[in-house]
Amino acid sequence: MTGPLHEFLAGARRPGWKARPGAGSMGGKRMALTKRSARLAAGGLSLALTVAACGGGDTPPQGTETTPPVDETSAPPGGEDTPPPTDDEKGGTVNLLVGSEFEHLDPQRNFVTNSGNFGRLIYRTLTIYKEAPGQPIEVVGDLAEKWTSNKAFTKWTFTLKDGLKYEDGSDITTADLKYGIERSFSPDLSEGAPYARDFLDCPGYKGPYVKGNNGGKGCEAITTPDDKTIVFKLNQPVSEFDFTASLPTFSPVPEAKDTKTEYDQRPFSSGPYKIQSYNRGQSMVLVRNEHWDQATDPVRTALPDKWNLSIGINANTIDQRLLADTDPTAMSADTAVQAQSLGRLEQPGIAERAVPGTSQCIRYLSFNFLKPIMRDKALRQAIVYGVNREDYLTARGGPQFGDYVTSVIPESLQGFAPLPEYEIPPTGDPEKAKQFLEQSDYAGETLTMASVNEGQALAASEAMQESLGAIGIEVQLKQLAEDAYYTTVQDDKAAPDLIPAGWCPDWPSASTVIPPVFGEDTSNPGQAGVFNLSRYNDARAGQQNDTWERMDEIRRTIPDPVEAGKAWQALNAEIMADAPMLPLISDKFIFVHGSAITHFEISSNYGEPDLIKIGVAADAA
Amino acid sequence: MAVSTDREPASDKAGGESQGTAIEGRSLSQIAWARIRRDKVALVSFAVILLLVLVAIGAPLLTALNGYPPNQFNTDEEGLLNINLGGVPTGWANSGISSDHWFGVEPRNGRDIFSRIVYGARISLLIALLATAVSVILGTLFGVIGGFFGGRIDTAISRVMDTLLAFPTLLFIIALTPILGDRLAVYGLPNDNRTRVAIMVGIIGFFGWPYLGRIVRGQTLSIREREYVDAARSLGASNAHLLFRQILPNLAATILVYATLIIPTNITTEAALSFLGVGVLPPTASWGRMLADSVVWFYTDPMFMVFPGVALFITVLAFNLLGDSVRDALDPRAGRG
Repeated sequence: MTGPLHEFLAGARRPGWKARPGAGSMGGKRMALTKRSARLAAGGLSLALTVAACGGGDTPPQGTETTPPVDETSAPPGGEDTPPPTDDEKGGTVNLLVGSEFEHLDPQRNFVTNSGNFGRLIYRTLTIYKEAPGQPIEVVGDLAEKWTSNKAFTKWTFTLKDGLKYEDGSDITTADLKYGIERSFSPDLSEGAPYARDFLDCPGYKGPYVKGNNGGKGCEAITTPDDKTIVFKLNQPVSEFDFTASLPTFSPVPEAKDTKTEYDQRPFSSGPYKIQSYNRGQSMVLVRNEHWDQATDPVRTALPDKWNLSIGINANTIDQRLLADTDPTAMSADTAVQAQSLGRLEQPGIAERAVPGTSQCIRYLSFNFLKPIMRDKALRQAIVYGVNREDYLTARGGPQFGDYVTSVIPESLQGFAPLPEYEIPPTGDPEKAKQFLEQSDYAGETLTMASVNEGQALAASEAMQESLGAIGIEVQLKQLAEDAYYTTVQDDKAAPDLIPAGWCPDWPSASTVIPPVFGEDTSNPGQAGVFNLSRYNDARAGQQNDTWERMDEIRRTIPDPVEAGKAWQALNAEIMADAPMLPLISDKFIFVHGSAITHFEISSNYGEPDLIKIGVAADAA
Repeated sequence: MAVSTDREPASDKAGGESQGTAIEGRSLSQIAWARIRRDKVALVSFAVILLLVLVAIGAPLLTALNGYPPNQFNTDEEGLLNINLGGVPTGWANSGISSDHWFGVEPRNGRDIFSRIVYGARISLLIALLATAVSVILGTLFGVIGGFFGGRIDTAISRVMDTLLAFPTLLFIIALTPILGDRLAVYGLPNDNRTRVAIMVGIIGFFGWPYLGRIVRGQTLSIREREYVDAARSLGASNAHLLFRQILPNLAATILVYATLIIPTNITTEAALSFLGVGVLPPTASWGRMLADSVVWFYTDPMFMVFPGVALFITVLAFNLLGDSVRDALDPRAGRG
């Protein structure tokens, strides 16, 4: 199944890690990767801590995400808290069962949670998240030894570590890094994170493949005074640029190895593994990159010698194989336990192999303002109160697969505060819904709702359909294949009235939530951005307010993350007073792994098992 | 009727007795009816089909009896679903079977399976019968025209049939069904369940007619050369007379046999389309859709798969057996014990 939490919706995500729509796979496997960065918590423990820390709303934030990078911040040294793995844990082969093929492995095109997680085995980025159970996520240097910014957060300087090598033993230089980042400007490779294009001050630059790479100068906002230093000049203050630099866009690509769109098949390795063979859609084998040096890497442990990937396996098949433990060295990163297998998790031999996790991916129901009928606020409010979220969550697998939310901003983010008007009982409030419906101009029209055409995503849409039917709103499902889901609902002509969708922050900041979900399309002023599925504030839907100007203002004028968090929250509350969407749940899931797999921890950032830490027990290795 | 067979053995005791009418010219249909009445398999399958039709027609009455409309979620029913185990029903074999829910309930939403099976019979039979009608009408029309007129008309029709027969039909239907719904919506036809049913009937029927068309064409070719047709023609009968009075009546048996045999095929096609997610729109109950939903629950709640599976199995089997019996009864040359 799959679906991107993918399931939610179906999964598509172009810009941003989006949650998968829903389908099937685990339900959440990738909520689309929505933005990857934000998922939190993997173990129940860390989750609980995080929630406790942030739940009050006014509690001082804890964790890196709240600490602005300060001048002369240097990357913390590799973990003292976790003992480094011993040599006898090294070795063995992991059989990785992959539900859906990676959309892109080219680092500059890699922007979905499942491929983002996996890509870290092959390439390194300027910075990277360090996660440990029970600890807040921190940003540490990966290629970068240290970094600084000016006071205005518009100029960032990163210095590389010593001894960084590619798979052929050559040195990793800042020139390669500059070239790699420049690739993300190419229209041919546009699927990746848009942040380099958005933030770097080189207007009109179209990537290294045209005009002799700008006459050999490339993007002039990136300068490399020497092989170890790289300087970024930004077009706006970005206090979180070190988070941005953890996206795979910020990976080095040597110009001599660049095969353009073919690079997807065989990215040149800077990480602990290199691709030995790759049969797209079927299999891949990763073997060690002998030139990768553990001493330079604060997060990757790279315990197994080899990774065997079987790609495109049905989610139920993965489920059955892992539950039966037919292959003790098997695991899956993109496919969690299916709801119908929950009953087996109590069995001895399985219970100890089940690992719960949470994500920061939020699922919601967008109301499409381009449809005249949806501009009726009373009707939108009737839907908000009419949807039975308990039935919705049960259809998605029940309380172990999600928590109710009041806002598209995940609880763990700076500035989060619950929105009281969305604290509706899980079963809805049919009385109130009917009152609003009476005030509205709704006269029995049939509304259309997008839905992935199978699995729990379909069951969840049916649950919403049924509860709306019960208060007198007729809804018809427009069924879409999961891989066409986002493409369709993003198409203004094809998008239906009601659009279930999901979003995960790209890094722990509401600046990667509110603008994508409610913002403007920067290349088409006046029109809603591609992930603004409500088309909120779109000029074509009638009246516009100043929301988009204010988003811009917050980004440009409030560098302090705490202040910015409050400003985003205030803006969010104001937007939500208009009822442009109904926040539904945040995703949770349970993974089961083979009995010989060790160090199986869930990365809250990806909402998947943290592949860079996985090991294989010595007796099985 | 133009043809009465003289080959029916005189040993037709049952028929003779029960009819009580004169022995003389018994029509083929009378003979066939007599044969069917002696065939226990035919009678049983006919009874089953009759029951299914009654169930389909009386679906609202039956669900009024148990009190659960087919699309109603019963998640608010205390203790019906175990929401901590993915919404699996409680009770025997995790099926939710009880005195309230005779066939149990669906996992995740608690919809009553009995009600959905009963309503699913409507969809199944409606689509299969209408699609069969479409196939029969088109197949007979083009088969007779091709066979009777011959020449270029025949060549053209035959090539069209060859082309359609060469199509990977199921794949084509899968691709076409959802697209057609969207396209028709552009022309103002609501993309709702009724349209979807009409599309399925049209498509399944359309891709089914060449099979019948070929058989009818072949039969027509041979019948039009028979002496009695020649005789009629030499007496100056019009084409219309030849077609409707001489040829069509003699095709009736063939068509009837074929129709009863494509009904079960169409039932399975409808189920297959719903199984693959391009059938009737949710939440409308359909056996194929229930089977698709039940696959993932097989380990925890096998009964969810059993009920729609058995319903489909019985229906298809009954139509197939009845079809066989009808063929045996209508084909004078079929070896009978």
